[in-house]
Amino acid sequence: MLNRRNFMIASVGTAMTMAGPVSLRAQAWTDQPVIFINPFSAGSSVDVVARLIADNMTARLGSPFRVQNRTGASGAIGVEAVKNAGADGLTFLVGSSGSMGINPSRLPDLPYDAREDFVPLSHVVSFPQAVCVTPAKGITTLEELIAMARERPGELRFGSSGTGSTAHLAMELLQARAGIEMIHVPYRGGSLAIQGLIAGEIDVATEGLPSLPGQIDAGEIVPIAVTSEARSPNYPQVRAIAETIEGFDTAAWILYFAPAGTDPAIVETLSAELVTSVNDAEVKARLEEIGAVVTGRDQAASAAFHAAELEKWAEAVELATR
Amino acid sequence: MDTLSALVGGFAIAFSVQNLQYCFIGVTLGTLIGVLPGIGSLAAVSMLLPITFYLEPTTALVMLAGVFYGAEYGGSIASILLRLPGTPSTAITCLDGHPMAKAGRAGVALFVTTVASFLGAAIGIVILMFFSPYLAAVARNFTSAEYFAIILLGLIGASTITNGSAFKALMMVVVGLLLGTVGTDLSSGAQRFTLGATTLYDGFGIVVVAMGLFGISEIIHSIRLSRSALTDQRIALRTMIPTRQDMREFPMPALRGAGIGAFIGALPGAGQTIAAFMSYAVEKKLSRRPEKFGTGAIEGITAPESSNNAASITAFIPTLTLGIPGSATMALILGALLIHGITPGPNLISNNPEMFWGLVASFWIGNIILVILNLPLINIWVRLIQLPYNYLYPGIIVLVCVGVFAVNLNVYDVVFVIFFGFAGYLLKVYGFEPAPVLLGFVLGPMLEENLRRALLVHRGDFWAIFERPISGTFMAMSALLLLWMVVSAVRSLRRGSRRT
Repeated sequence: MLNRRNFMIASVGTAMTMAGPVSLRAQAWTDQPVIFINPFSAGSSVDVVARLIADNMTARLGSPFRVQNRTGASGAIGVEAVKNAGADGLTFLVGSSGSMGINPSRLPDLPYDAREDFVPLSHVVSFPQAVCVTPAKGITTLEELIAMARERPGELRFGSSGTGSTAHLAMELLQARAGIEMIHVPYRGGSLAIQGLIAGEIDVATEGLPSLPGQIDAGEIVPIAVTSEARSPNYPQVRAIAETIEGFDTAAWILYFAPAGTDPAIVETLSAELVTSVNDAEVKARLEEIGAVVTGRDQAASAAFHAAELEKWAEAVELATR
Repeated sequence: MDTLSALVGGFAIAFSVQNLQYCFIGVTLGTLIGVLPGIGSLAAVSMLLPITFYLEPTTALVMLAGVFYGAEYGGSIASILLRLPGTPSTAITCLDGHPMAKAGRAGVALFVTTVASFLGAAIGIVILMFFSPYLAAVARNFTSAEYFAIILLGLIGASTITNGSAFKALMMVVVGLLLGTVGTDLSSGAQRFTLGATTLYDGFGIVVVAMGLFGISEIIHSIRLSRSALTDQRIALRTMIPTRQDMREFPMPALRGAGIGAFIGALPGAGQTIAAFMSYAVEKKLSRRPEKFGTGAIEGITAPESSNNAASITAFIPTLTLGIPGSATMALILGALLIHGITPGPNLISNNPEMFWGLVASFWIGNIILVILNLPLINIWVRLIQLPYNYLYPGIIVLVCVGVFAVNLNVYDVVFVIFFGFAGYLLKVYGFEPAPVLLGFVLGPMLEENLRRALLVHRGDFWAIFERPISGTFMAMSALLLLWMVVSAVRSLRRGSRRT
């Protein structure tokens, strides 16, 4: 790490005194602020992750890394902005399962191609989602829920943060795999779905774990399963859906992307730096505190992961619109 | 008293030098962004959020909350003096505040709105202190059926916010409803009226519509008018003294406004704009001389101002006690807590009492600072918008564009705000009013969303909405209100025909 820092400082120094193609590239990558564009609003859990990483990189590498929120159009505005920024080595995307996994199959007029226009850098974290019921339901496991849904096909109602959201499509996949049928009730945001669950309007709600501890600790809602492949370290007693349905994994994720055509050297360096940042002890602890599972995949593994995700969500979207 | 001793502890926290400092910064900044049309609390809070990363969570919360409720104070200043709403929730204050200013009573209007704002906030804080658990219990049992019923009542009630033809107002409500449908349909995920443009996937922002229709259009409109001497009015403390009649007409509307605002604010998803519109409509309904509304009725500014301030305080109830943010700005404030590893939920008050009571105490301190900022120091703010027209108006247009842009960093929002500005101007020229458009725009999507969800949950049984006690009561009230409107319309028609 020390070596890398010294190298950075050295290259900045060189770039300042010398001119030439080699040092210019080093200057472009370390001297000017690097912008991570987050297509969702400040304060969301995606944003917290992006800022933790940017702060850590700024502190470690000595040049400014910033997060910019460019919101709107289900994330399309921000993603498009990164695409249009071109391969300048300064603008990168904080991609998430919604904007870079689901929307490509869901929205017809997207101004970007998730496969062609971007190069995956690193799948940094996943966010397990929790399938929740109220204590009044009297069930605590996914099996019981599936049994209940089989007994009353098409009667149970599940809420989500909106049509086409990760929560909605995760439940569509669950229904297909478990062979059950429930009614989808969309809300404008996950916290309102949780309110609908508490008010007794719906039977099941799926929402990202980061925003749930308040209601879980108060005993208002009961998590019966998490959608990630492994259990969440924060709730080790809650089983993963994968323990009932093999291979099931619909966690939400954050994957950083560079615009296509970015210098492979920069892609490689940034990818490695992202992995280093999320594995930093302090950053990792903060990430886990807010309910994230640190994955820190390298570039090749992230690319494979992204390709598989695009396929999985395409299937889910098809199930939902059938 | 448990609550009182907890509050004393809260004051001890709120009076720490750091918290006091950030409370002052928050409310001053809030007033400033409130006074300046275009930049609202949503933009301001999202810009401040990264800073709160480095603050104590209580301090961060105190500052962000100060911006949030401070903006409600500042917003009315621009509404009264310029007929440009500083924030969407003070748009309704233009209707009677500006005529008052034109009649040389700007000082009185500013005084009355500040006192009403403080009163509304104070009642909101008392309710937050003593009734949070109860209000949260009511709000948590609200299902889509209840939301639908209450929004319907609000829409019917508020459809009378017009001085001109009721038919034209109704047309404008429909235009607002249609504008509200633009974007992704929540139930099906289909794109409605987006014309294939991705930038319309999320529909139009409320700030864009409100600032365009009320703000930009007013500026375009005033280009044609000769320069009035209005903004040159000196707001001396002397001119702020209300008449005895003003005093008589003050308390009841302010109290009713605070009550309505406190209730609406506590419902997740409603918010200050709806609270202000509803209080205005109630006052107009209750008034013995509704024809005075729109020409400078004092009830027309006290009720909405006390209402939006009460709502800005009680909006913290669902956010802090249920962990459910009622608005985009609240979601940001909640995000500030999330950054610090605090997850709001039913246990927040018992787990973080020092934070909750520190915040409550800071509400008292902040509101008192706001009264000082808005009464003795009013001229600082007034002078901000007393520049000559040829500097002020281009300046405001720039501010509106910057403010609208800052929310999403989306250039098209600037294009849309200008578009709505010209649309609002054309409406004005042809005698249509923008207020019902905004009303339909805000309430329409909520009405549709909750109706469809209620029908989905009750398997298409519309009568289920009438069978639930709370929603049934609101539906009955809507029916009575409609009946009364028809009866009074018929009566006034008869009276009219007898006279001629």
